[in-house]
Amino acid sequence: MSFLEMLVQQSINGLMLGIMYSLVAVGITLYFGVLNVINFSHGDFFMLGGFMALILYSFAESVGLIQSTFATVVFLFVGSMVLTAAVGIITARLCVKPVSKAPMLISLLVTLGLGIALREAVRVLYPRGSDPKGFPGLLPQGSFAIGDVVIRYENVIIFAVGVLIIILVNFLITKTKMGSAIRAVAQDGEAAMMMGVDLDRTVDITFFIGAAVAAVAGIMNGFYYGQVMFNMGAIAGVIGFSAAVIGGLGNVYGAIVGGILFGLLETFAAALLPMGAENKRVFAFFIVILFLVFRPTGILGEKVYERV
Amino acid sequence: MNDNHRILWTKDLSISFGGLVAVDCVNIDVRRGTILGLIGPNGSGKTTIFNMITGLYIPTSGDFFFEGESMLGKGPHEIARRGVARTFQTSRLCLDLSVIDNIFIGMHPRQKSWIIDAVFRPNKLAHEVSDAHDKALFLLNIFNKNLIEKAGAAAGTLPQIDRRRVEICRAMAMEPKLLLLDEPSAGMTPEEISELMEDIRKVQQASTDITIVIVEHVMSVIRTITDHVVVLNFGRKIAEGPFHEVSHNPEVRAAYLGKRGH
Amino acid sequence: MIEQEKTGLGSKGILLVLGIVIVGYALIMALFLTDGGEFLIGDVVLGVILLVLFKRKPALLASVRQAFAEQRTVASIAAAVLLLAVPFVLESSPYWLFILITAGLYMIGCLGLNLQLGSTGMMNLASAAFLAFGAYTAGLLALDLGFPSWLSLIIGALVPGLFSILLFIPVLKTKGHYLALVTIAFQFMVVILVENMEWTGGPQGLKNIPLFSLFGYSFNTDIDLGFVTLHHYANYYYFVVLLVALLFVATRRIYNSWVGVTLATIRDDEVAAKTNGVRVNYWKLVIFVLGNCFIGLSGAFYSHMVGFISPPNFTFEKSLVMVSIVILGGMDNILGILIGSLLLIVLPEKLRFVQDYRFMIYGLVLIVMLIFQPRGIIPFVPRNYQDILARLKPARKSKPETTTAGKPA
Repeated sequence: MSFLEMLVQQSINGLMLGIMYSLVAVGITLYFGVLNVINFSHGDFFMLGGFMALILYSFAESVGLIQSTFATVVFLFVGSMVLTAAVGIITARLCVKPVSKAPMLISLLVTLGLGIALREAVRVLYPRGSDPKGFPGLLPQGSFAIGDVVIRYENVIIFAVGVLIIILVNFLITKTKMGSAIRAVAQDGEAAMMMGVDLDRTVDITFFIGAAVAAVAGIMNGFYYGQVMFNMGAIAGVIGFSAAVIGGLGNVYGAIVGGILFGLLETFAAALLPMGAENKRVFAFFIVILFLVFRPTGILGEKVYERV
Repeated sequence: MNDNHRILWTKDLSISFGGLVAVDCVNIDVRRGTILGLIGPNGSGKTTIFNMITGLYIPTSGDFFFEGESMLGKGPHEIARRGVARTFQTSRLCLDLSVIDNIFIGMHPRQKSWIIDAVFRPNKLAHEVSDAHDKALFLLNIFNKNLIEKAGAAAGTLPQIDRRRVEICRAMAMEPKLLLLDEPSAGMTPEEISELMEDIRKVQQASTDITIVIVEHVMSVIRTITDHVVVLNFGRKIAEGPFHEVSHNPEVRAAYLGKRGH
Repeated sequence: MIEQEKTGLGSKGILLVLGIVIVGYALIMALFLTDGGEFLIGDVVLGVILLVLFKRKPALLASVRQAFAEQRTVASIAAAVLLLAVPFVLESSPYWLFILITAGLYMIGCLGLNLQLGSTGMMNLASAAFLAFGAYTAGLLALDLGFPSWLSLIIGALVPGLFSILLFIPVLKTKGHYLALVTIAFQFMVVILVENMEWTGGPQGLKNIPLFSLFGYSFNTDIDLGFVTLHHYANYYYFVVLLVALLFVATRRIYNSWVGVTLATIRDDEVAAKTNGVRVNYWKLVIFVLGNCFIGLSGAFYSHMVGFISPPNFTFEKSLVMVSIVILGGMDNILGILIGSLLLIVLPEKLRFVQDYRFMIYGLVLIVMLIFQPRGIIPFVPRNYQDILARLKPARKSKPETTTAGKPA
């Protein structure tokens, strides 16, 4: 395989991974922008999405509803998105809203706690929750090749779905009335309220979108790796955060850029660095730290002057 | 002006934020032992100048000198240790700490002991705490005996005017040569403002050669206590002199009256 | 004199102090010695009642504090005696002794974390990583280089301080949630690296670390006193009690000194600190290093106590537990740290039926505390220098009155 082909191969893997990370990052950046909170439980909605899909699948199987693969997949996606988003709104109302006015450090800690609670709830309540659970392989397996570069159908589908969701979210945010409400609140909550924006409803919708999108990522993750596990959300949350920071907290495009960058960083680090495979995350986190210290507003963010 | 006469002066001091020029080539001389008023409409750069002089902002160009030495690029703590103390527009007290603790921090540059002493030499520390305690109470006493009773209470429980006094005590605890007061009358009623002017007089009496620069919007304060006034507008100095001269200056009047609210 | 002389509580104070100490002790020990849940429920209910009571009637709490302040020596002696008696009381349940020791190790670590977070406002979610630095240093020194355990303990405490340098720039340049994120990233980096390196034993970690011994006396020997034989855990227990006591006194002295005030100002308002001459950067680094040394000490001792460490011991979850303890106990509240450690480490053990839910409890505690009582369980009170001043009273009486004439010397 030539160097170029290796680059392309890794880029494809990295892009797919990156899209999944972007979806998680989008939720986090939305929470930051709209509610001024740092939501570290978001990764666990990624996990919940996967588990909800699993539960729905078992339910559908036992009731004999499995007809066409495509319909099942759509059912899993939609069903899980709705369920996960519902949990998202409930927990957000209970735990996140009360601390949304407090310093962001507090919401960071509260959501960390929430994440742990969710994780442990799944581990304890789901039968044999500590073990990884097999995920139905409903996506077409197999692959095609361009030269030496192998592209799995799954990669393409996941990437396509990811891009579709991102376009949808972008459309929602830029072209719908609800979207402009979200953007207004993100810019200036009080002003938005005075313009007649229903703050509570906007916040709820933001949570809904965020959790639903994370759920999609979780399901895709489940399809790709063939399994879900109760603690897969922990690292997803941290990565989603890192991606959002790299791209610029509060900026949805930034979340997308950051997610893809993180995915590419990880993949290339694994391929190119010595001992890269195990330590790829170390490299990626190191880059994140560099951003946090030297350019906390991220790639697409704006420089802010601190007023004394 | 002779260097001995001026404790602080700025030379073409300027700063811009992004594209916005906040302070533009300002030259101010602060005569030792006097009270200088710094006035101008909102946004004219007064607090920004304070922030530069105390090292919180770095000027984009120009320089400023304290006791003949350039302070450009020096950190806030270095400038403070040389004898420059300030208060803030919004009293920056630590509201959860007691009044006494807030004044203690003003004495920080003078504390000699360190963590090792705190842990291993409790007696030496007790002496330090006791001395600091006495000094803090003495400072509070200058203003108001009531404050002494509240010395152990959290600073957040005090009304605004008392918080301002505690902040001034904290600044005085540094035994500063130069005291910068940033809109000390903010949020005060007229009675409180006259009390404030009394307080500033007491400060001057308590330390005879202290120099004070005061940023203010309330003209009665400026008129009553300052020796000399500098007027800023849009970051530039437009006039200076004793208050009665400056207040009749047409450009100054235009700057204030030409503006409608904020 | 300017401070009002509060009337001393006298003998009532002694009774109150002794009463509280002894009854509290009995209630806690009963938890360990009984199997059922009666004492647990009783203790928790009592605790909640006290909390509410103290919140409603701060005067009551003030009297209690006053009593303890006045009867310092009595309280200390009583506490010391009761603490020393614990291994005897728990002679038949060494398991609980082990749990107490673990709580003690958390106390040591959290006193350090409190210096960073509670006193100075520096969020450190990488405390487990520093535990790992301490534990692995001590373990490797003892295992590979044959260092005596007291030496590996000391070096194990200092090395994490050294590793703190890696985070110096972020600590100085970032604050609040940004610093939190940096430490989280650092925490993950460290664990992954430790897991993947050969010489740290990889995912299996280090085994057969020599257990702690002091001048030939191995802590693994049971203490035979003739009339009773104490389980060898007692050795570790006494040592940990000693460490906790020393660090408790040290951190309390720091708190009650102008150093403590300086740190509090840095925490509450950095700008005010800077403009009052505080070298903020210097203090942040010093405290960061010192706090990590405490944490390292805890990790190092753990190595020598359990003899076996591996990456899963030092996960991000553990950092979060430590932060929860500091938040629960009250930021910058030294006694609160001890209480918080006991609560978060001992209680879940007692709640055997919720063993599985242990981490969920931590999560929930974090959430509830931050929403309703971010100050911590002990109601917050500003510093009180009365006892320090009282210490000098005889000397002060001979000083001339300085408050009226001129400035004091």
